[in-house]
Amino acid sequence: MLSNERMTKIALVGTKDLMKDTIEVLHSLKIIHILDFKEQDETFQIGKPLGEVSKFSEILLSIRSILSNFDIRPENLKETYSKREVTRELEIEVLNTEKEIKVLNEKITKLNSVLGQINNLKSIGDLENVGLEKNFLKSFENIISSKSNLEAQRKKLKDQLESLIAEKSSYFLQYEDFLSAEIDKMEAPLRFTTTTNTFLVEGWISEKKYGVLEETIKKRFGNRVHLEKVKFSDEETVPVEFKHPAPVKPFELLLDLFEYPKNREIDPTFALFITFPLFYGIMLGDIGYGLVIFITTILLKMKLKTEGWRMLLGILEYSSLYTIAFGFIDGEFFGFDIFHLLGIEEIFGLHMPIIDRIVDFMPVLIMSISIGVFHVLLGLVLGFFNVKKAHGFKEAILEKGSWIILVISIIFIAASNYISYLFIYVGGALLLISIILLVVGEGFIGLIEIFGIMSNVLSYVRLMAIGLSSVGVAIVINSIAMDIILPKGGIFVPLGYLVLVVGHIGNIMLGILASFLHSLRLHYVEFFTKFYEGGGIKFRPFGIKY
Amino acid sequence: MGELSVIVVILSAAISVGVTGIAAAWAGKHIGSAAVGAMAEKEELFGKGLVLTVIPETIVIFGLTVALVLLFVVLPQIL
Repeated sequence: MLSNERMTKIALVGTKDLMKDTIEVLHSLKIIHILDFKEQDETFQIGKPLGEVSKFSEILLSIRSILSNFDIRPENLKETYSKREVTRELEIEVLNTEKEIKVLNEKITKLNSVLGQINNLKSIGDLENVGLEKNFLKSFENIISSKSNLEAQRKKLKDQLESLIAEKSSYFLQYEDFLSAEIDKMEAPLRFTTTTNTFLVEGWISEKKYGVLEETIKKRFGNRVHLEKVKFSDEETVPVEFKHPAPVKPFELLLDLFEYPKNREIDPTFALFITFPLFYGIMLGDIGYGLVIFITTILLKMKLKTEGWRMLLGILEYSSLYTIAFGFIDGEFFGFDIFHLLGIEEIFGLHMPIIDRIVDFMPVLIMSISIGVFHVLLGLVLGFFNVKKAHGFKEAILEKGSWIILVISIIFIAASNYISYLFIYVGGALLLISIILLVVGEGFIGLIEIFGIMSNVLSYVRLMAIGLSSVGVAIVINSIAMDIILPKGGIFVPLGYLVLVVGHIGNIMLGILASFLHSLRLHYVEFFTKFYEGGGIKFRPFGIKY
Repeated sequence: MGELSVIVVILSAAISVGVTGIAAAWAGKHIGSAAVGAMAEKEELFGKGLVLTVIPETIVIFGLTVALVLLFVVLPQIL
């Protein structure tokens, strides 16, 4: 679960007459991440594109402009468009339709400008008072009266255009698919290394799928195209292909925004899956807000189908569930003290609400800092394994082990207040060890970084502070509406409800944004800096449209 | 003496929230405009820019914490 797909580097060599067929095969397999060709010299040169790419690109461009102008997208179509073979007839049809649309569009613009001028003429009709001759003005009136006629004409043209678009939009989509794939294939040699008579493709493939590629190449070309695995050093950036289970998948987006993990580095997506929604929930913590976000994400999921949106909504969905859970702990429903209002004292023997975070902010503050200590500790432990994998055990102890012991010693010293004063000696001894290790590992400058760790941990105070400010605003909205406006009665009643609705919508939007950003920040700045290097690239198989 | 220290504590709480708020806003303004500028050059920087803009808010969060501690922990001890 924590490791990603294992990649292997491959090289594919063949004679140039087979290049087109090879590209065809690779494009249909969609399993190879092609490396771009880099160094050019006298023997090895960059490949030339096949066929007339520029002509195809031009057509593609005009089709895409039609698609975006009329908002034609696969998910907007009623019938699913079939991916038929693109034939000569279809091509001609699409190009003719494109011309037709252009002509219709031109006519409509012309009519629009004429109608605009007539509208300007209308004001001239008032000139009668100035003393202009009546006959002269009549000719203007004739023009003005033809306006409705022109408008009808315009409407007719618009209808014609619309029906044309509705009829042919599936063709357009299909042709766009075809063209972009075709251009992809034609431009592929630009990434290959070529000599006068041969070509070489370098790329990455997941180890599991190597067999499939080998078999296909063998079947298609026999021995005429040669495929082999190439050795690669640890320094090389290996493209990353995640294989997370469905619930964890949305959190890949957060790495997409930051950086992909480098080769052999621990993939933090699973840690994000556990702690990101938790922090979000602690900060927002309100049953009502959680429900609103949950329902909104469910509704939006039906509408927005692109991958990025799905991931974002997936993250928000999990986070809203945590928000509802922490809402029960804090006893908040749109800022109201729900258990108090309903008169519920106990549920399952627990005093409700478990923590009233407005009154008892000190326990929440201490809890936030303890979460910070453990989160930073987790980051350091992950960092320990990363360094151990890359540079060995000794380095790991000196670089990360010292910090781990330091944080543990602080935990011991803090615990001595609550459990037993003996803990302080253990903590002191550990602190001494860690400082020695620190000085050995990083010199005396390392000691300065202790303040860095301290500010990292204190930064988790925001788990309390952001929540507190969000509740604060909610309570203010409630008291303005309930205590000040509503008691006045009469026309103030709808106004009071308006304040409630608008205020809470605003506060929910702020809450979503603030909790999201601050939870993200805690991970990027406080957590990732302890172990994560990043700098990897995404696995982009050749043949898949982006 | 007693009254004066109460005034000082409350004033300190007000200053710690107010001044850190202004500081965070000022820093946010500069970072925000720089982040948008960087994004115009390179769109992949969106994630990093987004996080950079919330970094100075730590200042005001610390200010708020200090104010809360002053008002709810220090003040009752003086009174």
